[in-house]
This record gives sequence, C-alpha cells and structure tokens, in this order.
Amino acid sequence: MASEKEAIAVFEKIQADVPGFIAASLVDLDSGMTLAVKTARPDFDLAAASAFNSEIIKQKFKTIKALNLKSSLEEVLFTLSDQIHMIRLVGTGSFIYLAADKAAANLAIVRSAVIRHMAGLS
Amino acid sequence: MALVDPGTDQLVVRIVYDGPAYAGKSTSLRALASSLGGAIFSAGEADGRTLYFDWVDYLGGRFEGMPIRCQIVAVPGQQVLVQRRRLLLETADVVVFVVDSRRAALAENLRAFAVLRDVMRRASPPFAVVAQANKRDLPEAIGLDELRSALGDGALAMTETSAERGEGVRETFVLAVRLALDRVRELWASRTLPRVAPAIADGASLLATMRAVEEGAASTLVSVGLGGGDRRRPAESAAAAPNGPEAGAEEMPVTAGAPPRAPDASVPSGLVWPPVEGRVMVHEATRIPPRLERVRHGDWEGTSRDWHLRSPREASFFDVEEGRSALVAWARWHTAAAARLSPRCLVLARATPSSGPSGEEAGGARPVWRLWQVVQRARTLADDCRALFAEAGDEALGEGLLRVAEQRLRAEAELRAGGWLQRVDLHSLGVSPSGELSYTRFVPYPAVPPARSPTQPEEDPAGGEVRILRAELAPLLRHELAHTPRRVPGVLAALHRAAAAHGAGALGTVLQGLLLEA
Repeated sequence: MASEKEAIAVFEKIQADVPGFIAASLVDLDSGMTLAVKTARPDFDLAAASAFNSEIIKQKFKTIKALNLKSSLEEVLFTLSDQIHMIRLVGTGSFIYLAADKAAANLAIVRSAVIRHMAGLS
Repeated sequence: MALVDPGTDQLVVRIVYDGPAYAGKSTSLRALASSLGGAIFSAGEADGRTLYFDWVDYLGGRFEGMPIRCQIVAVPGQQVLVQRRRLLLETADVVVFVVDSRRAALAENLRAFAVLRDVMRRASPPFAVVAQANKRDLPEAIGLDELRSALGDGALAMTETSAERGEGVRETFVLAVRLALDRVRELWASRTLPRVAPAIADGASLLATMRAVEEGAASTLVSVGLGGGDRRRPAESAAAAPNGPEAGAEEMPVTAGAPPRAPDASVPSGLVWPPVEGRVMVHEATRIPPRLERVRHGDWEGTSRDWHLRSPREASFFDVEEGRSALVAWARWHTAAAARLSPRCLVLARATPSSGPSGEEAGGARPVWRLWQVVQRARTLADDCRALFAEAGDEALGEGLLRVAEQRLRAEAELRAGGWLQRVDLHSLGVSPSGELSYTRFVPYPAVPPARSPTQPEEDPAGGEVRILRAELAPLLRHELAHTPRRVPGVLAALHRAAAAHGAGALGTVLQGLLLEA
C-alpha cells in the first residue's frame, strides 16, 4: 500500500492529466477515512464525500452478493450535471475517489488518467 | 468509551496515543493534526513535556450510516505521571502505542508496554493496540521483527513511522480507527453501545474532568489512608509520609514560626534537579499549595495530593550560589542512587521573609533560599500487606505475604549492601510494576553513607532475616489479624502451600511462626 506521500504524488500526476480536476482521495473502505487527499477546491468537502462513497461501495458489494454474481467490482462512475465522479477500487481494502469538472473533462479522460497512474498506489 | 451522540447522530470513539516519554506521541499528534487539517489542544506543558495530554478532534469516515467523530488523545509519557496515563488509557477504544525504535530506548518501551498490558487486561470489551514503530528514519532503529519480539507479542499490529517527517502517521491512525470500529461492532452487536451525549466533548472538558477526578481521587486516598476508612494505627498513618529516617516515628510541630514560601514551578533554570522532569514534579506537587509545618529537628514539611515536601533545617542559604552548590552536591548523590529511589526531585527556592521569629536560623540572619526534596507518594510493601489482608483470599494472601517477605529481604541485601542508607523497612520500600525495589522516603541531608550502625544485619544471615521480619512484619500481622475477619489456620495452610510451591520452605516456616505469635 502506498504511503500518504506516494499517494499525493500520484494525485498530482492525475491532476496534471485531467483538465478540470477538482479533488482526489485514497480512502479506507472499512472506515471511510481518507488516507491521502489532494484538492484544488477548498470548498469541496472531500472527507465527507469520501466517507459517503465508502458506504456506496459497501452497498454495491451487498447488491452483487444479493444477485449471486461471481464478478468483482472494479470501478463506479457517476455523471452529475456539472461534475464527473469516479471511484476505482485499489486492492480489497481501499479505493481512489476522483471528482472533475464536466465542462473541462470527460469520462474517457478521467478514466484513462486514473488507470494509468494508479499502479503507483499498489 | 465509544458511544452514539443522539444530538448529532455521530459515533464518537477515542483513540489514545500511548508510549514512553520521548517516543514521539506529541510529534505524531502534531503531524496528524497537520495532515487532517485539525487543531491541537495541549493541556499543560513544561519544557516541551506533556503534563496532561494533547487532543485532536476529527470528524471523518462513516460507520453504519453515522459520521465518526474521533477524539484523539496523546498521554503524558513520564513515569511520574503514570496514574494520569492510566486514567486516559482506561477510556480508549483503541491504543496506538508509539515505540521509540532505537535500541537504547528498548527498556523504556518495555516498561511502558507493561503498564499498557495491565490496563488492557482489565478492559471489557478489550481494545486493540497498534504498535507504531517511530523514528524509523534514524540509523540506530532496530528491525521490526526484533521490536515485535522484544515486546513479546508476535500478533501485534505494527506500522512504521517517522513522526518528525510526518511519514506513516496518517496510515497508522486510519488502521487504529478500523480496529476501534471492530470494538464498536462488538458493542453494536451486543446492543451495549451507549446512545448518550458525550460527557467529554473537547480538550477543555477532558482537562476539567481529569483535574476533578484527580482531586477526588486524592481525597479518597487521604480518607482511606489517613482518615475515616483507615484501619491503621495513628503511628502507622504518620509513617505513611516519608518522614524518615525512623519508621513509625510521630512528627510534631516544634515551633510556631511562619513557614517559608513553598517552591513552585516558576523556579529559575539551574535550581531544579533533574532539570526537566524535576520541574514537572514541582508543578504537580505544588498545583495545590502544600501546607507547610515545622517538624522535629526543625525541618519544614508539607503534603500536597500525592507529593511530600521537606526542607531540612540546615538547608537554608544566604545566597543562591551557596544553595546551588548544595543542590549540586545532593543531586550527585541522588544521581548515583537514582535506580533505587522512588520518583523525586530537588529544588532550591526563594523563601519569603516571614514576619514570625526566624532568629533560630543559622547565624541569626534571615535565610533567603531553601533546598527542598519533593518525593512522590509511592505504594510501599506495608501498603501491599494491608491490601492483601483487606482484599485477597487466603491463597492470594499466603502468596502475597511470601512475596512481601522475599522483597523485604532482597532489599536488605541490595539496598543496604553498600551502606548508603541508614535504614530501610516495610514502610520505606516500594516495588515498581516491573518489580524493581525502590526507597520511597526522604533521603537524609546531606546524604553521606553512614558508618556501620548497630541496626545492620548480624553476621548470621538467617538470624538477621528472622530479626528483620519479626521487627517489621510481626506488628503489621498482629494489627491486621485483629482488624480483619481472618482465620489464622486458613492463612497458615495457604502460606505453607505457597512456600512449598516456591521452594521457600524456610521462609514459610518463619512467617508461619510470626502468624502464630500474632
């Protein structure tokens, strides 16, 4: 697992590749606590968003189990009216959460940047 | 202490950062506060040392739909503040035990871990511990396996940090939160997770509560030790204060002269020994100003909560340099004997000129400075004995009496062998949690190794041991048997079994004899 410093370095690379970058965090799935954060907007409550997203992921796990699916969850993408949010699992105990401005970025750019750089988090 | 606050629907958990002094607890909290974007509340500091605690409040994460409010507390690490440390540990949902990774700090790590283990044993449900191996950036840091092995717990979760650089601290904290949530799940599943407003919501209220508890605990100690609940005879009660060298001697005020001003933590640098810890001790000892009394020999003595102060009659000086020389000389003696002394310090303080008669002082002149010895009240072997009679069953009493007798005799061999103390006895000897014997009373001034005294052990070691136990333990046994509903045959049998189990037949026979005589 990457250290806080290493994770922030990864986020900085992602920020460089994603126009309209708002914020990114590495989140502990069990507690919803952030292990590392990077934000371009102080008004974006990254800690709260990360915590709520951990609950979304846990609920999704319950859904997969309820459906008796043999698949594993890799990522979740949200399209808001003005933002794009992405959650990508890192191992089994944590995930990256990224938010970007929809006017400047698109799903493909966001997804590509995260996948390209997240190897540095393992 | 995990609970759900009904007012905010937040889960409140407490993460306690524990560890020996200088391990990096406060540094870790500062790094964590910086990383989390929180403020740190430090309740009392002296020379950069934590006196009460450091506090950080953080809202983050979620559990079962509830936001998690983390009360993050770092305890004081100094040995003299161990009771305060225990008070905080008992409230933990998880403990981060900060370990100084350097080999030179291993002994201190183990001493501190022993106290934590003791608290852990009593916690229900149990709390988890994360060992934070700190100072990993230093070249003298030993390997994690060696650290884990030294702590004696192969299953201990361990992380690596350099708190000074802010590395690893946040990851350790998040791991600790996860472990705290395990405890919460247990409470949640058993429906015993309280839903109540937290009594302590911030650092200021924790500080107020701790002070109230300590002052309340002090009252209890006083009432049990010296007042209504005290089953000891008045002479023994007086002997609870380290007003040696004579055990059991009753001290009476001699003159009515106005007392000197007691020392306080504002004493200038260079006038306290040891330099940093001493100031902490003075701060603690004089937080509630002691009431000073003139006792036999003309010494001044006072008591404040868990502390005793004494300034010998002759330890007064016209100028500070003269007093400082005396402080240094006495400190040298204390340094040499430090391993065998209970927590204490020396301080040279200005004595306020009094309006009362002080012509009895040296040279008839009014002294300006006084040298004080400040000794922390410590549990003695006599206290252990009394507690055994009060609380233990016959088997534990038998084991305990054997242990007390062995410790007393070990002290005779170890502490008096060099002749550096005039007298040790059950009322002046204490045992630390790690089993080290220490002298708990005032040290005579000036501390000069005495000539061979008539009270030294006889040539026949066995005869000397019997004499010591008869002189010191027998009166205690007589008193306790007279005041507790004990059946002597039961205690005798338990003592016999304990002696047989430990291969201490001869000592067991002596103790049985004393019990029968009592």
